[in-house]
Amino acid sequence: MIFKKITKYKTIYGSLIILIFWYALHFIFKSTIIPSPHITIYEFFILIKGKLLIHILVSLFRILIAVIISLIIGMSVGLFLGLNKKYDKYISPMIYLLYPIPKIAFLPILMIIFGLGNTSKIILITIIILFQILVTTRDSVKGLSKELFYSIKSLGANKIQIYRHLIIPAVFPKLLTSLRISIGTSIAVLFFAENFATRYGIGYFIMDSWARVDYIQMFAGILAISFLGLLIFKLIDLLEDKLCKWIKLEKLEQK
Amino acid sequence: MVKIKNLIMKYGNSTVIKNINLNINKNSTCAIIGPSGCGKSTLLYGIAGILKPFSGEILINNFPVKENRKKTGLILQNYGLLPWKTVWNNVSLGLTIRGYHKKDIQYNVDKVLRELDVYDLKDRYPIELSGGQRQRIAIARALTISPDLLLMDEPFSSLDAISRENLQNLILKIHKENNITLILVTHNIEEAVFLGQTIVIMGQKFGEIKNIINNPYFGDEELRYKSDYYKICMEVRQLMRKDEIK
Repeated sequence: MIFKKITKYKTIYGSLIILIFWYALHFIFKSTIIPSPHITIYEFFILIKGKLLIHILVSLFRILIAVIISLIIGMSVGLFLGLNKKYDKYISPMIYLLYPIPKIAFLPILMIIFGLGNTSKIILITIIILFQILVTTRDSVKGLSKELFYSIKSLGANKIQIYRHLIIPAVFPKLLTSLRISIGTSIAVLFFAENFATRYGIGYFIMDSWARVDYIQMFAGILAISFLGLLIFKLIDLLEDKLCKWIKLEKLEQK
Repeated sequence: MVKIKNLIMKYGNSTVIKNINLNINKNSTCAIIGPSGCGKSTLLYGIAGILKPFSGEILINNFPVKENRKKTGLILQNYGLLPWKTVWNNVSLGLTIRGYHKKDIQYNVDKVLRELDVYDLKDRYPIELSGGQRQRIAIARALTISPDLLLMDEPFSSLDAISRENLQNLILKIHKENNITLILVTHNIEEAVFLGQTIVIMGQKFGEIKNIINNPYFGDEELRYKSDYYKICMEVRQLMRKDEIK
């Protein structure tokens, strides 16, 4: 009974646990470096009406553009490699070599080539998420059984119809999973990238507050990042619920 | 209806079908039986137009087989249902792909679902169905396109005995009522004898036809309860064993 309630209100439950820890740390250290949660939350709601909202929106904009670009490139290359084993053989080694490189190390180079503005930051996030989406797409296409291809071909499907009825729906839920993973990474990376040559973005806001020794504002910014992540994750969950009912059923079946 | 002449099929570099000649008459049924790896499924996919012959010819109504022949239905062992579509959307897929009008699709799909007694399942997803129900849905999907040729690749081999016999009866009924030519690939002797007017026995190696038997008792729904049935089963079994000993 209790467990059922917990799973129903899991976001509230998670927030409560974190708040308790936060209060505990606040009282143990008794220092301004860990401001109390209620003051921070109060500050957050005041700031969100003004400049904090702008910073968050700028960051969200950078992430969304990067996600859209990586989805387009990652999906098309992933689908192509998954469906054409010949090319996959030659291109995959390159992908495996490039995938583990810490792309963040290229930020200085990107800033020199693409300028200090939005472009270099968006490209940095793009090349980080891109690989995850590409490899996921390729592998989920490869994992499709021959039987499904045979059966849809026997119904007379042409290439576009095979994509529409078979390949895209099969890849979609896995794409959402890879988005969940890569969005966490991209927020963290964006935070770093926004420390350079910008006056907007949540990363800038936090580091600026830090430099001004305004810990309450700094924590309000951290809170904002957390909410930004939550919002994106919930959006992805919603998409999955609406468009992939069958995935839920499959998970139930496995229990 | 189906004519196969000097057919050779390859899978990569290995020859799977070696020089097969076979005629299957219109409105008849043919069961192709043989050990696994004998090339019987490859032959079926060749007739379906999904795999291409290396040399030789497959003719349907005197036309060489192309991909997407409009009136060929294919039913597979693992049903080939799309997990992300409901039963209704799976069954309507063939008509959707062919660009039928919405009203016609609605009418045809509902009709076939009712005929096969699975109308109540129309809003479920394949994962919510039993194996027998899934195969019924796969049969329904093949029937919506009103095929004149129905190809089945070990359709019932993953089902329990009772579901299997029920579906065999259903297929026999469908064949009789709709004048559909039926080609069935199986490794089950009883199934081959129950559903095959002609029974084609393929050899262990090199995809050759060893024997073709005519089954005079075909079409009797009560066949399983008669001793003639077991005589033919025995005959097929012995022919298959002879091949093994060689």
